[in-house]
Amino acid sequence: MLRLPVHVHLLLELLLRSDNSICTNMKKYIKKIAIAVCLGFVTTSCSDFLNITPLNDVVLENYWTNKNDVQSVVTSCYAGLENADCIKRMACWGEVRSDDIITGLSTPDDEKQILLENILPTNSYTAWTSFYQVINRCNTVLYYAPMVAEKDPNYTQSELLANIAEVKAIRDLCYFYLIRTFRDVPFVMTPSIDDTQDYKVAPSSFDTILTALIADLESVKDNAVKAYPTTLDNTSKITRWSIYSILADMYLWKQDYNNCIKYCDLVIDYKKAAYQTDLSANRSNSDLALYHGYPLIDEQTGGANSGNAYSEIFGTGNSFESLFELNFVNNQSVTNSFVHDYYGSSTTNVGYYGAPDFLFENAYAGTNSVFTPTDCRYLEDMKISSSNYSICKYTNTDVSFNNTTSTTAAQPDVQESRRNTSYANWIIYRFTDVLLMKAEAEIELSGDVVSGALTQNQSANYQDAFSLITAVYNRANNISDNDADSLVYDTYATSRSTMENFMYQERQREFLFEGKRWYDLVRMARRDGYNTRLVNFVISKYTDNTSAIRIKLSSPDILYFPYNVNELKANSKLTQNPAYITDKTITIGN
Amino acid sequence: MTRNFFKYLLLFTISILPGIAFAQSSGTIIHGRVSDNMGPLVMANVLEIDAANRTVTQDVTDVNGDFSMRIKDSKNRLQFTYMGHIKQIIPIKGAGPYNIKMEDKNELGVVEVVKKKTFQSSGLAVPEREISIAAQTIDAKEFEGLGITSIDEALQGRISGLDIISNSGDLGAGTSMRLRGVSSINGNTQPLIVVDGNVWETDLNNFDFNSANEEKFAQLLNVNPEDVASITVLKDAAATAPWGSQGANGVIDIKLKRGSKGATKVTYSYRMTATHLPKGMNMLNGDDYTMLMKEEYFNPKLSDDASNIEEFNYDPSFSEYQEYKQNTDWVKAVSKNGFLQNHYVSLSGGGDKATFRISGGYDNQTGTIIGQKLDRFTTRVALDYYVSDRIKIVTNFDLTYTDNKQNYSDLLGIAYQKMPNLSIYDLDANGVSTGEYYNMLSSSNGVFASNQLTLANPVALAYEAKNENYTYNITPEFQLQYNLLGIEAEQTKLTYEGKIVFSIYNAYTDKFFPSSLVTTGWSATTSNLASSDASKSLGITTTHALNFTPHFENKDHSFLAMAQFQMTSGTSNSQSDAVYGLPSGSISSAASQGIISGFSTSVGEWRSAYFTFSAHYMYKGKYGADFTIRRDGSTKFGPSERWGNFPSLSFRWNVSDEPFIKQFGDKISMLSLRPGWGISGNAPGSEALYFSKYSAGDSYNSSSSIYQSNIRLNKLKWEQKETYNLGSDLGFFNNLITADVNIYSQLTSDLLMNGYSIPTSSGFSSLSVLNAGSMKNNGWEFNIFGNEVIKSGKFKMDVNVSFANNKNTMTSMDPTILASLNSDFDRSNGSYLTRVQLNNAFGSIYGFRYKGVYQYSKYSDAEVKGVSGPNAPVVKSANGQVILDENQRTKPMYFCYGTSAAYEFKGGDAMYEDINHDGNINEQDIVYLGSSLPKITGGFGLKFSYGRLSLNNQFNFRYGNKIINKARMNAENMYSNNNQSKAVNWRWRVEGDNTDIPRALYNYGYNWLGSDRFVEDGSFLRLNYSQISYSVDPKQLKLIGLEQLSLYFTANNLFCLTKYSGADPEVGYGSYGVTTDNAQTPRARSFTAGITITF
Repeated sequence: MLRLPVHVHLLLELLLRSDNSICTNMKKYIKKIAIAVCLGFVTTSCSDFLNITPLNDVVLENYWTNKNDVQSVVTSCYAGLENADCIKRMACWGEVRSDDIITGLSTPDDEKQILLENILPTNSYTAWTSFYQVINRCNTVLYYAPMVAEKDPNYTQSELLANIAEVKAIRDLCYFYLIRTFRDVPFVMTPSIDDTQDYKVAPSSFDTILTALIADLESVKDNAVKAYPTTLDNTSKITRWSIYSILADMYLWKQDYNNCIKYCDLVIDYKKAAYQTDLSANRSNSDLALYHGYPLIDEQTGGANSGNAYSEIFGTGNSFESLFELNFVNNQSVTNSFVHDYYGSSTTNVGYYGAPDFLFENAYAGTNSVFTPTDCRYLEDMKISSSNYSICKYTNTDVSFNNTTSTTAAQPDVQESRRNTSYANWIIYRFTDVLLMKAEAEIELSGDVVSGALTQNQSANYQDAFSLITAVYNRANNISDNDADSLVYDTYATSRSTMENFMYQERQREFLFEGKRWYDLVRMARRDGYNTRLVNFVISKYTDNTSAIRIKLSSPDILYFPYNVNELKANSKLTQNPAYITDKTITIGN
Repeated sequence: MTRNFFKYLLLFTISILPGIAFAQSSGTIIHGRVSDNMGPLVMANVLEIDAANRTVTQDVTDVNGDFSMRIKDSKNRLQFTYMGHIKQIIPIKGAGPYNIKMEDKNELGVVEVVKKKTFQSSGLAVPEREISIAAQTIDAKEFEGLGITSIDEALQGRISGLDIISNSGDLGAGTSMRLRGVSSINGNTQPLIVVDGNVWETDLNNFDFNSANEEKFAQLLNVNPEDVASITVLKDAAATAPWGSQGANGVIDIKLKRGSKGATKVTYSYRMTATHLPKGMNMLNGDDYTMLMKEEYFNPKLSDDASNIEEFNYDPSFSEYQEYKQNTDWVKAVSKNGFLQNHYVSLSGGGDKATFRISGGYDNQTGTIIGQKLDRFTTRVALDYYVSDRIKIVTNFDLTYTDNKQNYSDLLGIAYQKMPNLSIYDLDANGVSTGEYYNMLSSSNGVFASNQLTLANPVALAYEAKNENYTYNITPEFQLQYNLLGIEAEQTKLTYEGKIVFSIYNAYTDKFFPSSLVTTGWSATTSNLASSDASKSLGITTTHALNFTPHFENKDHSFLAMAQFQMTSGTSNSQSDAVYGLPSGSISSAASQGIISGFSTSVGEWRSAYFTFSAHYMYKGKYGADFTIRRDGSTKFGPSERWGNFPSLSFRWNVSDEPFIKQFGDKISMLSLRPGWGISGNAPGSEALYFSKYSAGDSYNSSSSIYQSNIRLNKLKWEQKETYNLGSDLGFFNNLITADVNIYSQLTSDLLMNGYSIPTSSGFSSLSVLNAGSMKNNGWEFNIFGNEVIKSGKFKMDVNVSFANNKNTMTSMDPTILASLNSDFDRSNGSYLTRVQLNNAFGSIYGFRYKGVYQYSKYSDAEVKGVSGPNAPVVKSANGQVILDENQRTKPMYFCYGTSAAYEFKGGDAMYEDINHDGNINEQDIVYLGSSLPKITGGFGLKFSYGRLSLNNQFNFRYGNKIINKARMNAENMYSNNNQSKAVNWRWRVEGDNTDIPRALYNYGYNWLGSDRFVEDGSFLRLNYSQISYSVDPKQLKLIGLEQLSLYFTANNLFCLTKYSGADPEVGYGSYGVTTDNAQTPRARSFTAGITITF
């Protein structure tokens, strides 16, 4: 539409009136023109004239008016977390440096360098942008949602509080990832709105942030929803139970084991109750069974074939055991390209990452140090593909195999359905994680075993921890709760370190390729105060250059990633992790 | 007989008309007689005119020369006119009789009309002797009849301080212009183009001013050169002040021709131009190429297997044997001679009440690359209507239509890369062409997958793919001028001027890529891909101006003032869509059914408001001062920083009018000093940056998401440029030689920086724009004109010389910004560091120093022929001594030792200077290699005339600038499958070869790191044009009814003296001011013949 400014009208008026009267009424006319010109200057009020809203975008001035606006930005926090840049980093930061992962086929250079323990500040995995993007979105909601509540009567106080709890959990989870990866990071709790803010924020220490995160979550944990109207949301959005799981994990890192146990128990009780509900609803055909009293999904459901637990948890997703996972909806444009590219797809057997030989080799023959022949997990999570072991977790929609009779030293035949396009969910917390966190807390709570004899307290804790660990182990080995444990308590309950190693090995088997192992090892090393055990674990995947890697991994600082080079340039308040400072400075000679 | 009859009929008709018209009107009836020396005048005009000289009533005299009429107002005056006689105006004094004696014009003595030449710029018409600003004007006469197609071509080398570089020789590619150097990093650096006082309003939102594509600017200059009356380049801040923030990079003010009183004149001109592409690099033929490739694949792995590629094997059993054994000169296959025809017609004329000028031009041009064709049609109508002495109405209507058939992609670029052993056409088993274009098979060897295979056959591209661009540019203008006060010369004047200008710009692009050119399989998304883009924009500018010229009784004073208010607003929208997999190559429209691969629309809106006040004062014609202040408001800034104030102040002292100079008489006819100061500004390229925008993100659990997508810029403000200018005008020997000199210093502060990195812990990686840092440009300019410096009989010679120097320095910048601007050495071939360093010039090039080629792999003190020698990759100390380790062994030279890019140099590898002698070629060996900014730019012209024959030569030059010759780098790197230049025939092949060209290594080694090997001196001297013209004697023409007939012949770009090895040393500026030659189409050599006829 052609809009003529006031001045055009004035001009047209002048043109139309340019008759004799102009000359005869000269003075009058001068006055008129003067008035019109002045009016033109004043009435159009230039500042109004220059206020135009962009036609292509929604702007802040028109946003944050009702609860749907809040909901859309909350959704963007999940969408941001689900972005491949985030998932890729959750997986890489949490696991790639551990003994679980080696190079696969056509591994990109950045990943290759990390696998060689040659991490430079230019490596793209040192960039944390995708996490801070989510953090900022959460901060935006926290800043504006209370204002919406004042404007929109339909937005109730409880909805507001639930949203606050939800985004705080997402934000704190992001920070939790960041501190476990970088140790000290800038701790930003306000939204980035305009250029008058100072964005150069000095990093806060690991402990400061962790304490703050725990306090933050403690303050909102009971505002979070227990259940969403849509069942799907219960596992793929933040619920009260996912906050409890995050808190349990944080307390574990904080070495506050009583609180860890407290939150684990809350989750365990919730799952037990859910099991009872399920049982009364599907009395006959439930997949669930109790292992040492903990409800878990059976590997076998009718018949001798295993693989059911995998298919439900990782194949279909949003299973009974899930506490928080990032959900991908089939046939939508957003896919989990990380799993597709890095683990494999229907067209590629081996992705950018591969599994080390020692995890799989001769497991069927009973000579593998990690897996027993009856363990379903090595068959579910890995397979041989020519000379490589490829990662199968998440890449199959369902698997089926018979390993109960594998005493003939022949590898069981695995029937698998590969995913075409990756809509595999990415699991962040699930029930077995909570069980094993509780086991870890109980072991640590007991302290060291002095002079080979357990105290009564220690014994009780170890017993409990053992039953938690074996519950997970038994499920994977198809040993139902009715059967006696194939593992013997006395072999492990000799010292704190044997119990720990037992627990960490079970964690490794259970959470293989779920982005957890390196964090487990770092947590262990932090507690140990030295890296020896961590190095001993990690070194098993290396075949050459092992002594160099041993030396490299000896410093406490090396457990964390360096800050990205561009971040250091942009933020003068950051100082590089000393393990990565090279004395080379780039100078230009003349 | 019949003649008289008509006369009387007419007389009768006219004489009764007033009777009808005024029958009822009251007023005095007057009468009288009009006569001349010969007696009474029949049909002389008698007019009653009012104070503004408007006709109120009229009459004509009868056969006796008598008239009688009823007048309306006795305060009016009577005007008498008769053909061939002088007009008379007398006051009305009663009923008469009025006996008027008219005087014959021819009897009158010569009347000397003394009119000062004035310089009209942005409202104030200042006499030339009173100008206090730095500006330079070129009259259209100086380039009339040249075979130029655009204004910028005419300006090249003529304006000191204006550096014009053509972007490429492609049709419609335009030029990049820099006035007084680069003074902005991310802001616009092109001067403002003003046509008849109007800025071409278009949507420059999100326009990347740094990008090489400056075609949009070419559109700005889409004015037919034949319509131009004069071009003025405004240089300093005092000159550009009336344009405020728009004129920060200088203003090119174009005045177009208008109609003039007199009989209608028709001018027709025709010119015909033939263009020829200069020879570029000599490329390898097929045989040399395959030999090189064999070596290139063999060398890195020393394996025959690696070089066993059937496309290079000349094996008759290979199914494509015929197609891969050719010697094709691709460059020749895509080049041709271009041809241009131009027709131009103009009509101009007018009477007392109205003048008009109507012109139309048609260009038809074919390029020097096959498949390029440009049609351009321009029309312009300029009408001036004088309602009365007080009111004048001006309308202009311009239309330019362009149809530019471009190549789908850069054919010359492809031609330089394409393997020469490949055939253009599909051949049968006997090597006979089937007439079909040949494209590589998708089953070709994997090594071609991402390079040769993706280069479509350029000849086929030219004829089978489509890329057509149409533009319509319409600018109607309406203007009203009103004299509010006096209309006589000796009266105080106040003039109002109201103006509205519309700029309508529509552009359409249709593209098609047929599946016959796709080599990557049928399902490719480029197969039968059709796309169409359409964009339109409408800009409206309204202007109100008041001009005030008081009349002083004391002639020592003169004063002019102007107040102007201007508002612009505009909207634009664009849409584009693309579909692929169209059912057939014969359907090429994006409207047909296919798989939709892209669809987008966008809208934009912009507004601005400007207030300007200018005043000019002169005392005794000797001491003058000018003051201008402009206040600009733009929608690009937030409410707090929206308005920018841009003042300027300048003075003039005509020293030559002082007695101590006057004593020299005509020897020093002009000497003046012009100090000036001013501030101008620059706005960012994007709109609405001060809004916090919310965009749609990915969905989660099928719910849609929205997130804040930017950080709003509340602090963003105008980039400011403060200029000090000291100018001087000189004239010697009664202005036989005139000159002007300017020295200036410009400080740009609050530099606009795009994409300023901020800590990503904010959730964002950058601010879209930030004010940061400052930059200085110091320089001088010099112009000399010699009007008829040599004159002997019919022989005359004119000279013009202009040259300029500019020195650019970064004076301050936030260290954080510097750190993020400056990239780290990426350890890869071909890249130069871009660096912005304090106290260094913008456009600096950094890289390694190239020292030739290692002759041997093994070191020995004395040369053992073919085995070892002293020129081998071993570490040497600063004084050239070989460094030995504890076991008396030499140490090998490394590239980036200890990094993932580590490489040990071998014989035949490129040798780089190890600046710090640490045996490791790395970032610490990178040095400053020169600047892309020229030390001196300019031009000179010589015009010889002998009677009606004249010879005009215009040269332009740049001196002291460096160019990164990436074209040569790509043609000598021997790193890929691309064809290479003949120079690589001198490459290192076996141990002991002494050469400057390293060995061939396919995707291996570091033989073409960014080094001074590819940095060349871009100085040049070009004969821009040379023209012979002849105009036929008007006396002889009169006999055949013509007024003017001139003929000319012009040669453009006849020669170019340069050491630069590339095709054309005129290469546009790239990012950070670094000039990189990417083998764009060089400027063509052209020959033009033309004729201009006026009747």
